[in-house]
Amino acid sequence: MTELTLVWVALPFLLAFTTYLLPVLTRPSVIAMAVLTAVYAVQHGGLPGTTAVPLELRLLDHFGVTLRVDAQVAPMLLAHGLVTLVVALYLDRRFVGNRFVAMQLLIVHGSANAVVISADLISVYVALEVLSVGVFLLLTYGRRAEHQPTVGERQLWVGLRYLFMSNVAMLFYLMGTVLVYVRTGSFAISSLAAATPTALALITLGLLAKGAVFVAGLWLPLTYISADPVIVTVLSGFTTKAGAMALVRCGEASGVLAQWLPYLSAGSAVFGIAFALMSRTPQRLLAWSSVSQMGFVIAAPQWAGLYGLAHGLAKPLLFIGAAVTNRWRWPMLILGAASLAGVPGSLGYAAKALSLSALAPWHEWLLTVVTVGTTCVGIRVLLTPPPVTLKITHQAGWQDKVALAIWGGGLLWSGLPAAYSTASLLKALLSLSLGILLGLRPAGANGWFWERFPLKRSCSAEGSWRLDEGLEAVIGGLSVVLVLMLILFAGVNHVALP
Amino acid sequence: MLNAAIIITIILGFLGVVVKRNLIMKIIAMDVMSTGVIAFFVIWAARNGMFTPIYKPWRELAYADPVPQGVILTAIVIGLSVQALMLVGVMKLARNHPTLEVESIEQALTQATPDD
Repeated sequence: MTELTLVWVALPFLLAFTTYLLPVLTRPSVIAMAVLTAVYAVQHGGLPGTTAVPLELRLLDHFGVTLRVDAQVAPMLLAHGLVTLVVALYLDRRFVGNRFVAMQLLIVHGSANAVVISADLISVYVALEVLSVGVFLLLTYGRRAEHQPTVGERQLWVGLRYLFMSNVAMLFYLMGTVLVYVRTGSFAISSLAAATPTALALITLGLLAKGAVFVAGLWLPLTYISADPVIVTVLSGFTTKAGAMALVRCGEASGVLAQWLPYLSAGSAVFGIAFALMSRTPQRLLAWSSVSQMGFVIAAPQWAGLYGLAHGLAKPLLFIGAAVTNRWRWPMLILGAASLAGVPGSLGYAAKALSLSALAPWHEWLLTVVTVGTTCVGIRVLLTPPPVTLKITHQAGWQDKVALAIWGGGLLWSGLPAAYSTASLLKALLSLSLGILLGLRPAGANGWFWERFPLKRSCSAEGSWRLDEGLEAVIGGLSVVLVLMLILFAGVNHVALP
Repeated sequence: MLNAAIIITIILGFLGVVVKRNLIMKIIAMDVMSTGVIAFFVIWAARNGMFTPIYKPWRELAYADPVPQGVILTAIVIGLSVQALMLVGVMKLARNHPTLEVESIEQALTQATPDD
């Protein structure tokens, strides 16, 4: 098993560099790799409702690399496999540079796998950095139609912004790791238990920024809006969640972080949904809702992987569905929105019910209220008319059918009887009906007050009011989060400090 | 003293990334910050001794800790490649925005394609 794991971790990178020499093999190797990851994940308890023996690898001594594959991260690995598989099918010959993108996809896939299974801080750092370089190239190089062969400036700008943000955040993270090492003599995540508050704050900041949780996720909306829908699928499917998964893993090791994780989760959920409700275009609605969903992912550590899988299949379906105009649009949007809102029978419902039932009462109720907003977002995405001018997703493709079959089929998985308790069902139905009522706004009216909010401000002030999502705001936001984390971890603590 | 200087370097680098208007200046500021972080690793590695960590049985010396030094090599390489990548991106942006002022780029891009 050890050898298989090592081969599986290294294979994407090996394949990616081999495909430079043999470009013909690019797409087949991406597909093969994605299938391999999916199989590997299933074997390690990736299917919802199954379990497996956790596999722990310690390569070299205690300075070396530690890997851990358990039933908690395996669903996330399954999401990596399924998302990569379908995205690889979208990268066909009709587009310029599809091979380069497919190669980057392999690298992104491999590094996301590595982030999720790494159990020491330095491996997480290296994998996250490779991930951000890969995501930058995906964002900027993108998938380009033949009539538009140059890189779009907007894509270039959001890519640069992402790289700036992630590099600065990871520098803070590095400072945190050396502080942990000095204190404990090890880089393992388990040594975070004895870390100083400063070290913990720095590490948390890095992971919050990469995982787009709370204010550190300010970079996410504009990035998701500007990029090509197929690339956004990769981002929302798994790369952004990799940071959140690493954060969850750190939270398990450190009592101080674990005690604040629920507040970060609640903050992210509310922050994201508030801005989602004020948005207009479907892409923006979905992007802000992603920030809110990150809060759900980190809410209950033992169900983080399952929630990641449910969200990692639903969001890609919604992003693709919102960009295409053929008749597969509606099934895609309906399935995605149903799972996102948590309609009983879908994977999203099961993940949400299981996560919420593991939380403290205040947290559970807050997230249930946020679910009402999520339903509202889903309904509004469904109600928006199809785009008139398409981005570069082509008209009717068999890829859309495959996407629907694999992602949508995954969302209909309901082998989780534990999630169907009366209380969870009642709560889900209540929040769903309320959300649908709020989402179907009265005809003729201009929408609820929160939808008009930015407009109203624009009448009084010069230019429309909007959240500053510029580069300075994104990076300045990091320092605000850092100060907040320092205050939380060092000042206000219920757990005895080491 | 040395520690304080390093922390100041990091903070100055970070402030540079936030405050400087020009993209090239921002990238240089980020480099200053990453140099600070590298020095931070080196200074912590040398807290128990300054000698190069090559063990010789006949030398009773206070060696520096090789692990942070080894780890930071990875970070140096990653930092270099990220910077190279960013400079390429900036080169491409410079074609249409020769001043490379962040504000003007952002304004131009939001005006070209309003999203809301």
